[in-house]
Amino acid sequence: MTYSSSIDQVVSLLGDAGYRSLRTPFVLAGLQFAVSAALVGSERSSDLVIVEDTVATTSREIQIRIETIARAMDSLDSKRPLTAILIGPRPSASELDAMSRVARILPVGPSSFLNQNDILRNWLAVLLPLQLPPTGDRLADPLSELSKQVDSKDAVISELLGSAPLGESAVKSTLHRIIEQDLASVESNEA
Amino acid sequence: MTPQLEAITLTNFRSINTPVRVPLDAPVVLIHGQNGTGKTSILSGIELALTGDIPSLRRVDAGYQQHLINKGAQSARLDLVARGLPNGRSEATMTVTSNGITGNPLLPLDLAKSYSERCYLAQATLGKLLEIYQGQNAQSSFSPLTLFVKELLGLDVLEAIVEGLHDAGDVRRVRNSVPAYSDVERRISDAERRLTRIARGMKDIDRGIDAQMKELQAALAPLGESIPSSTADFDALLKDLEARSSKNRLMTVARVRRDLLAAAERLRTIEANSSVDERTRLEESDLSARRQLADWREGSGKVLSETISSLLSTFPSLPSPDSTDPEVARLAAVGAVDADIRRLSELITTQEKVTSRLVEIRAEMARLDERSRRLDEQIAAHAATAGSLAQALSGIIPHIHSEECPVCGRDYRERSAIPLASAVSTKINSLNESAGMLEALSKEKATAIARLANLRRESEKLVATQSSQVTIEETNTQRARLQIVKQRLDGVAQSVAQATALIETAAAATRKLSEARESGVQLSSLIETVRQGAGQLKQTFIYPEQPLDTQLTQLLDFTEREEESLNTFEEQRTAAISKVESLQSQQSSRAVMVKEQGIVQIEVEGLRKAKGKADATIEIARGLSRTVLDVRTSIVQRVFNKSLNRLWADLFTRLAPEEDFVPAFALPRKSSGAVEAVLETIHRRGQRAGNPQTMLSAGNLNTAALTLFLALHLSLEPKLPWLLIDDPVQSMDEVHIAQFAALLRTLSKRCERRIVIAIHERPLFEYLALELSPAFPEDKLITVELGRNASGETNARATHHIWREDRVVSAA
Repeated sequence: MTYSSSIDQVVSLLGDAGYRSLRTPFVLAGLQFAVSAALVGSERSSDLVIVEDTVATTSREIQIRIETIARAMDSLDSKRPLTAILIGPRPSASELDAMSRVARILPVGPSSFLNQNDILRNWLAVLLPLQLPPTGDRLADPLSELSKQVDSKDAVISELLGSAPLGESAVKSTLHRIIEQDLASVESNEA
Repeated sequence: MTPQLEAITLTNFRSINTPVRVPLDAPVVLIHGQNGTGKTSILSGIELALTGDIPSLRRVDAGYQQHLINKGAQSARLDLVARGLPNGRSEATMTVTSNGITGNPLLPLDLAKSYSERCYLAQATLGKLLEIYQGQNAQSSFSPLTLFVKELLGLDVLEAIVEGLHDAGDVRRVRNSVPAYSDVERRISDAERRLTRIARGMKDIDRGIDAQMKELQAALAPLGESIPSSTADFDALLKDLEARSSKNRLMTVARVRRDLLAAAERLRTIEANSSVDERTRLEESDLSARRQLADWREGSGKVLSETISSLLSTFPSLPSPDSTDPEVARLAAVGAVDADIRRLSELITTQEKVTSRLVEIRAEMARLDERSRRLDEQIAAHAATAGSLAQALSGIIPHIHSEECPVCGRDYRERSAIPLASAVSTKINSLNESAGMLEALSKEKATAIARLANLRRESEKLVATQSSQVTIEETNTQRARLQIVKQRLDGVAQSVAQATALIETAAAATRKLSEARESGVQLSSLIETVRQGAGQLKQTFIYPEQPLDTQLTQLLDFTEREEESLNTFEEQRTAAISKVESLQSQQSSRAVMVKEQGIVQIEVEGLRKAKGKADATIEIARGLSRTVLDVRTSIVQRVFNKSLNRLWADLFTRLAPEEDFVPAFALPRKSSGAVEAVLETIHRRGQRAGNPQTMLSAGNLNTAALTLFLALHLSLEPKLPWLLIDDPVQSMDEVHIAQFAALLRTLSKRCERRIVIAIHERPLFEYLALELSPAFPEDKLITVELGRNASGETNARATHHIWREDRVVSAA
């Protein structure tokens, strides 16, 4: 994977999640910022995301740029959260700490790793919408799943299933009652 | 409408010492304050007002309720306002006093539970969340996590089926729990036993019938009958045998035989009486007896007769010796004479006694007269008034003071030398004695007079009963005459006894003679009897050609033989009847058995059918139970894999993107057995690894717990789409915090959860305030800063941040 395709990958992932790409270099408070890529969240997400390549730009320059962008945003009284995705070798811990004071830093790592184990997706997860499982009262409807597996037209089964929501003792007494009816039905025929 | 919290006002609650109102009507509320300023108080106050309890405090201190009131206050109060709750309520006021908590919490019971478990994460809880979830020392099948997962998956209903059908797994359990089942089993085996018994019984009875047929054949042979070909003809045979009864003939023979036996007996008597010699002898004897009796009547009989006649004037009822037994007449006369002699003797004796007594009485009376006269003389010698004079003189005594008489005034000394007082006293004594004597004499005289009167009365009575001399003499004469008669009667006693014997002899002779005369008549009647008997027996009777006794003997022999033969026939006939009847009874028993066999057969078939049906139901139940286990396994695997684990992994990855081990619910390895929610970690490459507590660093473990809480919260339908988290970032590093802030933003802005977060770190608070700033027009953020004023009172400064259009992007 090449350097540019890693950036493309980030842009594509975020784009799929509803982020809108900004033209680069983008201008903020009259200043130009030549970041590798910049995206902004849409609708309910107001994130400003910039993508930097630690190979193309030194950590120091990246740190200054992030701080400048943050200050520019402050001057505009912007409340947008700022996130910086760092592609390439990870800066030192002290540099990351310094950057983290003004922005969320996602050091996704060297581009050669990005194809492994969805590392990129893991790092970016926090920016992506949360996929919630369909919720109801419960995560499953066991009784209807069960009904598909058995012959629900069978009178015995349908009676037993009908008593299940009332609890164990209801099922038990239904079973007992059906057995008793089986035993009694023939007797009554006999009589 | 989505349920929303509006505001809470806390008064003297825990560390809050003044009334503090905290607005909560924003998608995100950030509460900041130094430790001890009341952040946790606000969150636990919200929980108490919503649910009536604070489980996170309860876990640490069961008596936490005693510490809810701020020091220095008497009571605490919470006022919570909300809207959009399913139960329609919007306000709750809880009051805490030393007596406890009063008030009606805002949420119904099920939502309260849901809130405490899925919406509120207390600071104290977060660190121990995994322990709490997995249960302490509890079996993993009952850990809170397992229970929650079961509830989440709705497995209760499947477990209800599996447990409810447990009985079907083993027929012994069915027998125990459905008595009718074991009852039917028992009845089947009973009925089978009965069938066996009936079959055996029928075999026995068939053998018995064969044997009896043979016996019947033997019994019928002498009677000239044979076994009918069909069973129905047995009744005809029986009727025939009944009809052939010889009982009447037997009775006739027996009666004739009795008559003949009586005839034979009478014949013997008649033969004895009926000889001519005997009759002559009897006639002679009779005549002689009569003659002797006539002689007696001329001699002794006459004496007796005359004697008794002479007595008739005195005793007219005496029997005559001519008309009755002379001895009876004699004895009656003797009795009468004896009685009269006794009477007369007594009369004479009584008269003698009266006479002698009168003599005595007269002498006594003369003596008493003399005594009376003497007593009169003595009485006259005593003055009659001596007593009263003595009393008068006693009255004078006190007046005698000298020798001068108080009566006449004369000097007594002139008359006597004895002093006057003594003389008077002596006189009084003498007078008193005389009075006593007079009384005694009077009594004596009265006695004599009474005695005399008694004697006189007795004398008069005796004189009245005394007979005259003539009468006494007549009596004596009469007695003498009777004594003579008695001697005469005694004299003929022996002769009379002989006469009586003669009379009896004559009577007996006469009777026997008369009997002998009757015998001739009886014999002819007897011959008739025998003739009739012979006729009834259909035997010939030739008399007088053959002697009667010979023929009688022949007839008796015949009856004996006839009776024997008839009896033999009756025995054979009765035996045959009894055999036929017994055979019939055997055959009807067999018919009953055949019928019973049929009934039992039907019953056993019915019961087997019933049991078969029940067994089919049991088999269906078993099959259902197995299917339920399969379905449960597939649900658990699917939900764990596709839903819960995916969500949890997603959340965890957002906070810890670099952690290689991701926590997850372990998939159950076997389908049967209880469902257990066990935690494990899975390496990003797919291998399963150990429990999160052993595999993750403390920070990531915290993250795992936090994300598990969020995953469980997000798995449920958001009835209460609230997340209240108390200082969750205390052990997070900055990277985690940044990620967490992003996650909170996602939850708030995209998942529409209303979030209340308490933070104690100032920079973090500011960071989060920025991160969670309103992002769209309706969005809103409230920040609350808690602190204390100069006098230590709590104050809460709330700032409402509303959305403002951002110029960055438009500028960009």
